[in-house]
Amino acid sequence: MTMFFGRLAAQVFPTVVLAGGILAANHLYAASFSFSFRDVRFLSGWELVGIVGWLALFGMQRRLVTLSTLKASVQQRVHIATGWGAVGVFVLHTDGRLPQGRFDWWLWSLFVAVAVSGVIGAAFYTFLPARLHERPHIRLWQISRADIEAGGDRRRNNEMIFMERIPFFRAKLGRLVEQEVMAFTRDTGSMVILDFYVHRLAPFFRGPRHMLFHLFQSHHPVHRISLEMRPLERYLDEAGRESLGKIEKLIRFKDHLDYLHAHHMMLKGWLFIHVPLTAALLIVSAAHGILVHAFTAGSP
Amino acid sequence: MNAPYAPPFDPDTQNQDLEPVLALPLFRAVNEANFPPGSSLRDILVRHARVRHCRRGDIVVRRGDYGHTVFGILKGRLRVLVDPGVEKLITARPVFDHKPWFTTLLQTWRTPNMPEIRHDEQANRFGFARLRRAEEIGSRLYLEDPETVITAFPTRVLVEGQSFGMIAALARSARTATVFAESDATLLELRWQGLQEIRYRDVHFRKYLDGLYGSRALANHLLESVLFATLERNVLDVLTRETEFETYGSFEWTRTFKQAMARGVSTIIEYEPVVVDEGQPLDHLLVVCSGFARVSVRHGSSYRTEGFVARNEMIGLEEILTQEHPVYRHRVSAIGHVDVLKVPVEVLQAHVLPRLSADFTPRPVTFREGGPPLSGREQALIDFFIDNRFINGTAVMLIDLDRCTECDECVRACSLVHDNNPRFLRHGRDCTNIMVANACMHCVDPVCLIGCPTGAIHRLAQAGRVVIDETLCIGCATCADSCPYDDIRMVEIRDSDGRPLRNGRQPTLRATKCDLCPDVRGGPACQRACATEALVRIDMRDRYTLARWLARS
Ligand code: HEM
Ligand code: SF4
Ligand code: SF4
Repeated sequence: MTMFFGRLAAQVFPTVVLAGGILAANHLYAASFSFSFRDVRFLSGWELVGIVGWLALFGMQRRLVTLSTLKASVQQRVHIATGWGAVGVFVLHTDGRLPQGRFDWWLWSLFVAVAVSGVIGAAFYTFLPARLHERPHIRLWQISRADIEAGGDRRRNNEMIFMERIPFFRAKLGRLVEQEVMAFTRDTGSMVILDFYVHRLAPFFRGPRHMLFHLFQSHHPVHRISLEMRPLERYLDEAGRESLGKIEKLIRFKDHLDYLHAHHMMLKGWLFIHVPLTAALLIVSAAHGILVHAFTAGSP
Repeated sequence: MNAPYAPPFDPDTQNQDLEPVLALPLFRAVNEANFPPGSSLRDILVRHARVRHCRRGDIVVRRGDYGHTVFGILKGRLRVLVDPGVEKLITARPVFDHKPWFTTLLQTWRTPNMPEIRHDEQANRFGFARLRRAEEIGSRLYLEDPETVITAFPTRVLVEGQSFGMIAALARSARTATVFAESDATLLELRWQGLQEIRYRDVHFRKYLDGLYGSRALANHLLESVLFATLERNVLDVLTRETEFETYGSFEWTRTFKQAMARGVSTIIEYEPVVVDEGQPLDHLLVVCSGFARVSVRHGSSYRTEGFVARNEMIGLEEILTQEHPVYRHRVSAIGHVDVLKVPVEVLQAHVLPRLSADFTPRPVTFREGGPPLSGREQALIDFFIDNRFINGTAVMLIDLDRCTECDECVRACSLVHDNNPRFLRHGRDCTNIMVANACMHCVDPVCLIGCPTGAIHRLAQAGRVVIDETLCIGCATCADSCPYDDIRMVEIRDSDGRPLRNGRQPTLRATKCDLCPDVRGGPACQRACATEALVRIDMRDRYTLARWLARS
């Protein structure tokens, strides 16, 4: 954990410096022109437009790494630091108060949502990657072992499982379980495992499960399935128990896949809030700017 | 010695009449009685030699190509280009430069829908030379009009019975000159392994080769090392005379490597040929001139790896400087294959040490000389890098899995600047939190270069980068098969309209791999694109940078 805090500190420090710089500059600027209260809000409003506009360009900048002089890692640091700066200016701009009108509520919520998702995303980027491989390793070879035991081919070992391949492996594990259950039922005529499979295992293998538990590193659900399997043993002979053991192993593999899936979803998913809401924020703030100027144009 | 199961250089050699070959002056002094049955000179030739027919104008070797074979002329006349300056006119290599800013912008904008589109290849790229692009082994560069070249530029004649290419073959380094056929010619081409096997069996041949090597290449090797770089000519002559050249392990290390990997990496160390053992009296300073050696100490029932030595690095200097009766502090074993120069200690003490400046400190060969012991993670990583021979790389792609968010921006950036098809896989072996991705590592000892029939894959002299000249690539996949790290991919290419190019019924293939983005400003696109600093390209010989990168939090 110390590593994480070290990295977090390294990220936060320049951020604080930059954000502080923006705020200080803002105050100095405002003070030196001795604007009225309303004028400062105009100033901070335009600053916010500038900063948010710049932040919104980040997606495009990132795609131009082969062109731009800044490496993506530097760009990202600048983005995070500027993001915090934007939060500061936003507080200044709104006077730290909750909005009044309905329109303002929209604007306020969009900004907060973009900023909060950004903060969460940055935290995800710091914490989640290590989790992808720190837990009991789920590796291709583990699945291939299940595969070999079920008569499949040996695959190259020591490889990670990528997000895109997860559905494929999940389907494969599902098939392996089904084969095992069917073979046992056909050979023995006993319905014990088949019943359990139909009611409990088939839904489990059908798709990703227990996402939240996985994010909190909890083994509870899979443990629960294991517990539910114990009472079946009294109705099974030696071969039946062996079969159950194989199935249990496959359940654990599937659980690992879910764990990876949950983390991948978080790592990629937050951007689906951050980026579209940025677009919405830009549109709504443009409208906000026009309205504010229209309404204040006539006043002294 | 060489693995007896190495596949023959050319299966057709056994059907050849080898009498004229055995009559070559090169083999005249060889005493056949020294060879055991089953390994006669003739057997060695059948395994390691081939007879090559060249047409008038054919370029046999090109300056700068990676050589591993020696040639003997059976029939015909050849010419050596004497002046390296005219080389550029005759067989120009492609020149890489940064793309203009605007072109890069356009490239970002207009990604084609299809991968691997090639626009018309430039004609006459090779100066005077042409490529005979028969899509078969044997395609090569040739001069359309050798007479013009001979009259216009200074050349030296090579005639029947003479041999050439020895130095590059022995040191497996770049060819030092270009040789082309003045008339139709028949050549014997003997690969390195055969040369070494004959050297091993026959004293005269050994003397002849070592003499040749000693007079030409050894001094150059010594000069490359810091210790000897400033010596006067006469001292260097003494050293050259007294220094021995030894080779350990098999040059076919790709093969033995794969076998060793199949046995399991943890036992690799026990199979490595030992150069010197820990505690043995130190009588020679060892200078590595090619390949790698592992530096280890006895630990429990096996050995613990402490570091490695690469080209121009030395073993024993520290002991010689600090101990009265020096003994080797480490066990040194060949990682795959290593060539070493052995400089006798007395010679060193008499001629070199007195001239050494007082503040000279030898570079450590272990990862943490004298410091606290390595942590479990550090030891595991060192073993991992060495056992898997990733130390061969000068630009290994390391990915820190604690930071990689698997966003694939690195892959996208690579694809953007490489014909819409990434040149690496974000995938590979891993140990603790470090993954070595499947990207060309730009090896110190690039075995992929061996056997390329046209010299399309080559190493840039200045930068050490290994690149493929696509206009020369005939898609034979020799390099892809040779790369021990599986880092070369054969791709099907398309014309400007996106139609797959064909060569008869077969799709046209080209070898592709990471080229370290010579035309991208600011270095490899993959590294530039990684926002979390998870990805680096690292020279494994730079132990300091490596250790610092691995230790960052
Ligand atoms: C408040 C205004 C903000 C706007 C308009 C904004 C906008 C954007 C945009 C457009 C992207 C590009 C995503 C992509 O296409 O890859 C992005 C990425 C990102 N943002 Fe923000 N952002 C804001 C605030 C923040 C804050 C406060 C933080 C964190 C403290 C943050 C952290 C990030 C991170 C870590 C990424 C990286 C995504 C990646 O590397 O793929 N953002 N943001
Ligand atoms: S292609 Fe393979 S052998 Fe050649 S330099 Fe790259 S990694 Fe090394
Ligand atoms: S760009 Fe960096 S974080 Fe993204 S996939 Fe590549 S190595 Fe991982």
